[in-house]
Amino acid sequence: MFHNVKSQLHSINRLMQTYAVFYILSTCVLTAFFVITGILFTLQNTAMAKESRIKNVYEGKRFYTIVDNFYDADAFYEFRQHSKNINRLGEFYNGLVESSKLEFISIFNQPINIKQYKGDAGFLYNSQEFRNEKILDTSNVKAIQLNSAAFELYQLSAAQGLSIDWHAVDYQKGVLPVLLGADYNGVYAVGSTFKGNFYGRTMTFEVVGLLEPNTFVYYKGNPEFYLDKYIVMPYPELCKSVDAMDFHFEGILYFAMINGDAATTLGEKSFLREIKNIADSTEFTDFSVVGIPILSMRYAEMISVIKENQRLLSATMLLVGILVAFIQCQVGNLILARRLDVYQAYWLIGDGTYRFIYLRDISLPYIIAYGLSVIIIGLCFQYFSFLSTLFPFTISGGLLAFVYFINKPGLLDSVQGRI
Amino acid sequence: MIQLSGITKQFGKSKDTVCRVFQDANLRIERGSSVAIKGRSGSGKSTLLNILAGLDLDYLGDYYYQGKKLEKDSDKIAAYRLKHIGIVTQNYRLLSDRTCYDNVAFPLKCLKKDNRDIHDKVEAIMTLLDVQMFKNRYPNELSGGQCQRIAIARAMVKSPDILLADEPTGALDEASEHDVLKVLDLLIGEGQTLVIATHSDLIAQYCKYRYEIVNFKIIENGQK
Repeated sequence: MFHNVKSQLHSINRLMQTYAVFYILSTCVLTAFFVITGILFTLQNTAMAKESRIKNVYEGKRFYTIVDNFYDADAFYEFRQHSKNINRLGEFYNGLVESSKLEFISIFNQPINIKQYKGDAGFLYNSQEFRNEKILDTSNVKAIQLNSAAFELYQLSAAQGLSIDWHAVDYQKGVLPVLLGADYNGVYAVGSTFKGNFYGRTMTFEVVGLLEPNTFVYYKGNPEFYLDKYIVMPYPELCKSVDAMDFHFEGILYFAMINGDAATTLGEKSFLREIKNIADSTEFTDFSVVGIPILSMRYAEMISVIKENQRLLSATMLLVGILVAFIQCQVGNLILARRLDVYQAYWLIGDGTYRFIYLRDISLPYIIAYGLSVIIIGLCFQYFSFLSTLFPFTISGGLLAFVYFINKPGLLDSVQGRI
Repeated sequence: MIQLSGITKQFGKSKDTVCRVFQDANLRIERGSSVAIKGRSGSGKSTLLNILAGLDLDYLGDYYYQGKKLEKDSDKIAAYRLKHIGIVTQNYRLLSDRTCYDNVAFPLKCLKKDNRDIHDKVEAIMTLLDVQMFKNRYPNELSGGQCQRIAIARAMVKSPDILLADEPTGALDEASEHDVLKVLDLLIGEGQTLVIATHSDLIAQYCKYRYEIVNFKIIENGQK
């Protein structure tokens, strides 16, 4: 056994010495090919996942925006002085989210003022250039508030920790569960807490989970508003009746909550009828409904761009594949021609393993290139996944089998000939 | 021991290109006999050796080994060749990436003999054929005659029932030819069954039986 292994190693060593340049060239071509296909495959997968996610969110739906009509600051101030008005506002929101004919998606990016914030400038809401750190030890940090329909529509899920427990969201308690964008990994851990000021109320924020990387939502006309650097706060499921003596906070919060988007499969007339019914029943009518047809156009554009990219990636992979397969077939053919005497010697003696020997001879660069490509993809792109290593492996095996079977008739013909 | 019966062999398929080599030819080789197949280039000597070696299966007729008919299956015939036949060709067919020792040991490794057995047999045959001084050298470091002697050692190391040699001195100079002839003479003297395809009268004289291919038949043309 040991002698056999030693003999094989010796044979491979002699082979490498004789065909070193050949093998190095072949290994370089294959390594580049496997790295390229590994990356293209990852990109292709990402594009497909994105396409599927965008389709899930936007396909077959009409989007409308609901905005309040308080353009005048005095009127806005006056409205918020009466708890009855705020309760009507809250009921209007409840009517929207409880309607079975639409999904009311409420999103707003109100920053949180946090003391002794741990993150870097990338997470901050505004420029830090003129900030005097000696005076201020608080930071305005990017935050976004979403209701449960928004979470559901955009399929926000935690890569670490838990998702939001909507029953635990209670702004009166002063402790609020939050999710953090993927870039927060290493800044705040799941379970950690920090204090911050939100609409003038000091609250404790408890990190319950971290979002998947590249999570995005539609926000303010941007179909891909990424949340990687945001603190994601849940809005309460429903608006509660306010305390008649202390409703300043709710006065702002509920306004922010009713300014949102409604996604519906209804026609325009039916949708407006539904909104009117909610407004009539809650007696809050100071709002407007704005259609956003541009969104469907953008959606179509996005899908088309992704599809174009996918086609481009597939075409590139195919062309590169054909080129490499051609090169490798030629290399396989050259090895066959140069090692023919060896294979003939095997056959002449009566040993049929010359086919395996040929396969071994041509497979060495594939094995080395596969190993190198996995290392390169892992080190350079910090990306290791089962699929990203399996794909080059499959390509490598497939290409090797292709080269072998293309050259096999030539091999049999040349070797199993006459003396 | 070996019998070819009713062999018909031709090259080419269309009427214009067909080239007949054998038509209902027969040959019988007894154990311990030495046979020279004589003829000019293209007469069919090598074709006959290819058929005997099982390297050419594209013929009509039957091949018997010790009274048993062989199947025309390339892998089965290869196994038969590995076990029973030694072949020496004009251009040696040595493994260039292995030492002479490894080349000679190669058939025994293919037969999965144990290392001690391989060592003993290789040493013995290399000593017998006086090539032990080359055992650590590679084929490209040897002369043609030395390579041919290594090739004969490789063919003989497994003690084959029959040794087939196709123009064994065809590519050699006079001195090297003499060395190879000495080895062949030694083997004949030892009672090795031997079939040599040659155009040389000198080599044919060493063999007990001499055959020629005439009118697509294998005809006996003298005995020693």
